Amino acid sequence: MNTYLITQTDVLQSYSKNWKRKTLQVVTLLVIVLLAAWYVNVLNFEILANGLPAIGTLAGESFPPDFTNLQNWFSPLLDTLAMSIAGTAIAVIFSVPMAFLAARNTSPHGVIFQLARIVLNALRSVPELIMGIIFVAAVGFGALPGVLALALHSIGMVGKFFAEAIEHVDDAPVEAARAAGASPMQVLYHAILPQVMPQFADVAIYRWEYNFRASTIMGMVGAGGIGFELMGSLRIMQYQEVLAILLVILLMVTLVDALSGLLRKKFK
Amino acid sequence: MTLSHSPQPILSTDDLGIIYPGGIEALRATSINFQRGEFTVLLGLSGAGKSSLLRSLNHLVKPTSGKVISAEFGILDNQGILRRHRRKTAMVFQHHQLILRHTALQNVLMGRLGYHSFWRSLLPPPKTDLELALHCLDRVGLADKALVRVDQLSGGQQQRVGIARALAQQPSIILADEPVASLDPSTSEKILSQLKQICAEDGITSIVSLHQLEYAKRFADRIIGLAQAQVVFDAAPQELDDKQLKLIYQQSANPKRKDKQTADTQSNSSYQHLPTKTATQLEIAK
Repeated sequence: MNTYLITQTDVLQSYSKNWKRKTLQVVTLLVIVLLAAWYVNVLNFEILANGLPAIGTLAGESFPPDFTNLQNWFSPLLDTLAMSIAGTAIAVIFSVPMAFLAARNTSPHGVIFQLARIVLNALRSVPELIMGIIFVAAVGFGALPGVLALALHSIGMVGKFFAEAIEHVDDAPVEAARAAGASPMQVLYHAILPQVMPQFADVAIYRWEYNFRASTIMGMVGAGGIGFELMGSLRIMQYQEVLAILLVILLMVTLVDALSGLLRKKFK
Repeated sequence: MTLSHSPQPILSTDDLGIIYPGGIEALRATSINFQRGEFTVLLGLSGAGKSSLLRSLNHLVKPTSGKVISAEFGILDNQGILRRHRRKTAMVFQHHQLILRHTALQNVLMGRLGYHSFWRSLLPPPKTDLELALHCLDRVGLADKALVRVDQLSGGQQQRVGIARALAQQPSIILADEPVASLDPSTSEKILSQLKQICAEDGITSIVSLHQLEYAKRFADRIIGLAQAQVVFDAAPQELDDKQLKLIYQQSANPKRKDKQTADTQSNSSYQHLPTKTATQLEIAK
């Protein structure tokens, strides 16, 4: 009955095997990174060296930042902020039902589950800038196409994260609700939703933060906001103004990030 | 196995069998009558089929053969009947199964869900439900914790919230699945006597699964012993003698031990299990 006696040699052997495997993993990863870098010319130092003076000139021309048009930027900045909030809100509203369809444990049918997943993947794989171009073509210039583009693209990611939160829900209270005679819809609303609320809030606020950053460039395709001003200054090569706008955006992004961090902590 | 002489059982099973996917037989064709107002204990080792039997009584586990018959609603064979049956058959779980971020009161109100339509349940609960929920918390001695999140409560208190939730259903039957298995002995006794007392006061029929013989003897009106997926004993606790105990406890004790040994031998190569293994080794060496 000593078949399960473990000797010291066994332990040492197993330990050294483990160590070898880890080393192999690190080396493999390193090789992949180097190959990728070489492929995209990051390892071609000649091109890099030639580009350096140009970057230096551009940086020089950007100084000092020119804030003379500052009062003209407030309204586009407000547009950008409003776009990010509206876009995120619309995304969340549509993401909740999508998530229940795209979560393995709540989806009514395997086919619906697969379809919902495909829709979410499709939405996620079309960049918001491309969606912006399409919506500008459809509804014209302004903040509206920006909002629609942000919302639609966001559903892909928010819906997926919501669905994952639903899949990781604790089954116990769900069973308890069923045992008390709750209907399937009551189970969703009273046993699952309360459990995922903190994650939902977390994802939504994080997505708002992301959407604010994304909406600053929406203006570049004519979809409203501060990006429109940025593009204008870039076109006429007013690099001092470009730097000023970038600094203003940086300030706003920092403020939004701080606010988002504060909110997310509150919902924990 | 029919024991009863009383007119109509409140709940009964007819050749109830459960085979889990993968072919594991959890319950072999079992017919039992549960009498109104009785405190029945299902006794057996883990894996003997207690949980499967208990959970099939409200179809949380769907039986693969046979049927469950409720005196009030008939055979549980459609969603409507099942929902009404579940509303009047409350359940208490080993791990209480509460929503930890919710307050005790919110959790107890979950017991009222079966009484409302989905649309009605989106609105705040009626005042009568709130009063009932508070009353139920009061009965388990937790009225002062109504607005405390249940993750702030102790294990025993959480289980009492679970019992209050069950009472809020105003049930005629309570099914309790190992309600004290994760509690310390003194808390276990308190919980069981509280459960028994409340059920006696309200005339609630209770079916409780336990693995501790001592509690079964103390609290049960009737003990049903299970071993290897079938009933091996069914009588009043005082009729339980050593021979029958052997049936309940020893029969499945041997295969258990064997399982453990093979499992250990299999995981021999992985050094992470070293401490556990040394312990097993010592135990067997003795």
